[in-house]
Amino acid sequence: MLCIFSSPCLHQKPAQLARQSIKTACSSSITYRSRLNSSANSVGKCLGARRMAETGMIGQSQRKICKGITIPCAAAAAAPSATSTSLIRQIQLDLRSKSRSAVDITEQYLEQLEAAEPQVRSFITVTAESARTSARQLDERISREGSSSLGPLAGVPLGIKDTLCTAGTETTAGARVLKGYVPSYDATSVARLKAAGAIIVGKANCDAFAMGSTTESSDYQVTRNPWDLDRVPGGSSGGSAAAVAVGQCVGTLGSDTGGSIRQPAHFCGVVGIKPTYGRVSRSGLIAYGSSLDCVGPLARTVEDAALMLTAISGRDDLDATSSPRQVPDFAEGLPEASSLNSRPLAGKRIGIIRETVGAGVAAGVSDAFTRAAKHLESLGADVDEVSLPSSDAGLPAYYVIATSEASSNLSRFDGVRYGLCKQGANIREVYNETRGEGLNAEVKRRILMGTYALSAGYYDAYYKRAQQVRTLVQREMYAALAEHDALISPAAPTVAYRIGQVVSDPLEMYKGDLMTVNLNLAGLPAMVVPCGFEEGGGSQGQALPVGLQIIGRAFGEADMIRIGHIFEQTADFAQGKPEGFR
Amino acid sequence: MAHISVTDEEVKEWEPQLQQIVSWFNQLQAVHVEGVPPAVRIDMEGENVLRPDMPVQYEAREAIFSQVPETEGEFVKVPKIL
Repeated sequence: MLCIFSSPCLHQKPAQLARQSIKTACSSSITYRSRLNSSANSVGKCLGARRMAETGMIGQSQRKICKGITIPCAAAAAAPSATSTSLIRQIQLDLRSKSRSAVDITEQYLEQLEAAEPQVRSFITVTAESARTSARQLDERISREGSSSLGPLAGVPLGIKDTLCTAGTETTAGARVLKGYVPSYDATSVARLKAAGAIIVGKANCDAFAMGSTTESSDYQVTRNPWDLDRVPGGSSGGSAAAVAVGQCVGTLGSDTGGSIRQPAHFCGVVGIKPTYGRVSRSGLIAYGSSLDCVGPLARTVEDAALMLTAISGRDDLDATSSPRQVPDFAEGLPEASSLNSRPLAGKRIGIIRETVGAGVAAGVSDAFTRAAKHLESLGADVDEVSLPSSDAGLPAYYVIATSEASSNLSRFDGVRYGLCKQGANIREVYNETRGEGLNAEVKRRILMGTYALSAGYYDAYYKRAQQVRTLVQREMYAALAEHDALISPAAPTVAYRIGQVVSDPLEMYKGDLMTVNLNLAGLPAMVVPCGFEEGGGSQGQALPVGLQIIGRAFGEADMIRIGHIFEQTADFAQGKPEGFR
Repeated sequence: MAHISVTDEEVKEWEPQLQQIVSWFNQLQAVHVEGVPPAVRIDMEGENVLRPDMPVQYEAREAIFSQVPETEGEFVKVPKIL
């Protein structure tokens, strides 16, 4: 049986929690998502309870099965009730009230990780033993010193995309040329998660060097979409998104060069945030396109993603492009659904990017997006259309710039300092053979294209012109955001691809990035929040998730996150989870 | 220039793919960019960042060297260059 409890009210006292825990432990298997909005009656809805009744989930003990995956009962340990939907807040309460230990929590997630891994294959490396050790040490610390000095992510099991270096743990970026590479240091974002008390459970699969939109370009394994195991989880942070969707960990870090956090979040029905360029240090991120790369969180709820983003943001001396700006607590003051009035977004101007809707967008995505836009309007926002005419040219400009930067960045894989080394009579042979064998087709294609775009005779026609288009894209985005508090678009033109559907046609795959790349060109923050489903879109008629992309002003993550949170807390129609998983 | 060895099969498979992508890149030629400065950096803050040019001792030297495919003493070994 699977027991999931929504979070307790943050101001409840531990004794109250304990009483409720006893009363309700394992008495319900209400799905996490369907509880999200059970208190959203202030917008005229009490859909959560209705949905639970409709789905027959109240008061039943359920054992969900999906293609052979059976999920054991999570220990009847979690505290119940109330309004916050954050798994991280729940863990903090449990540790402080001693209703669950860090070891209990870690074991629960490791159990789920192992149960789902044979089918989903989210992780290249699982660090179960070091996770257990960290959890044990945390429990010892709590019993020795109490819980008053615990970090904001204490005891929270998290996964890390394999493009981020982890000291003492193999880091491959999904590429065989880095097989066996063990970094001597943590990426700054990873170090900050650890400093906040997080427990790292593994390294998530991704397209090699983050070059891909399906995670099929990983040299290690194909990760499957938990909503439909015949489909891809998106990419390149596909392992990170699938792991969150399936409950293998509370959240993950991803990296986003052209949509690699947001598109997998859309495909897998989770929340993903690409912060403003410079908000999070890139130190320790294996570089793809340095002027585009961003590190950000994926989680089940906006609040959890906000808590993670707060922990990893801020100036870092190891990355000169990291911003010295003060980092707000992105999760502070996020309203609970029960506290919302009927028009919580009144006064907000939200622009639909005209070039991202209409022709070329699948009907299921279009319908879900339209409904989401109407929902924002019903929450009081003033929603209109805005045209960004350079958007279409932004896509090829992005691929020129990204491949050009990649051709430079990946020259470091030379067989001399780390990773694979093929012998040769001279240095040139070592380079050629090491890269020839260590890099896969997609990576080689991108390096070749970037080298071509940067070559003397073509520089002005491609690279320089792409940079000029980048300026146009930036200007249009900034102008639109001077008039609007946020812009919205679908996260991608379609729901998750079938495995093999686009991998043999690179250009078709690139075109799927239309909705996301322009934000990397402009450096602006953007997030994806689940906004509905394409009903019957899956191979066996499953519903497939659709994500809403919300774009904020530069360093305006706090406002963007607040809009995303209010949407999430009130959009009951957008909630759900893949069958068979927590 | 890229120092990547490719097989005959890869050339055969990629040639049409790369040609298709390069001609797709060519739509950039239709964009009116006269007088538009190239975005040479992402420039979110608009200020250059300087730091003192001081050497810093890296503590995990051994961990780094343990990853080097070929070493000789405390040196990284590379094939003949010239």
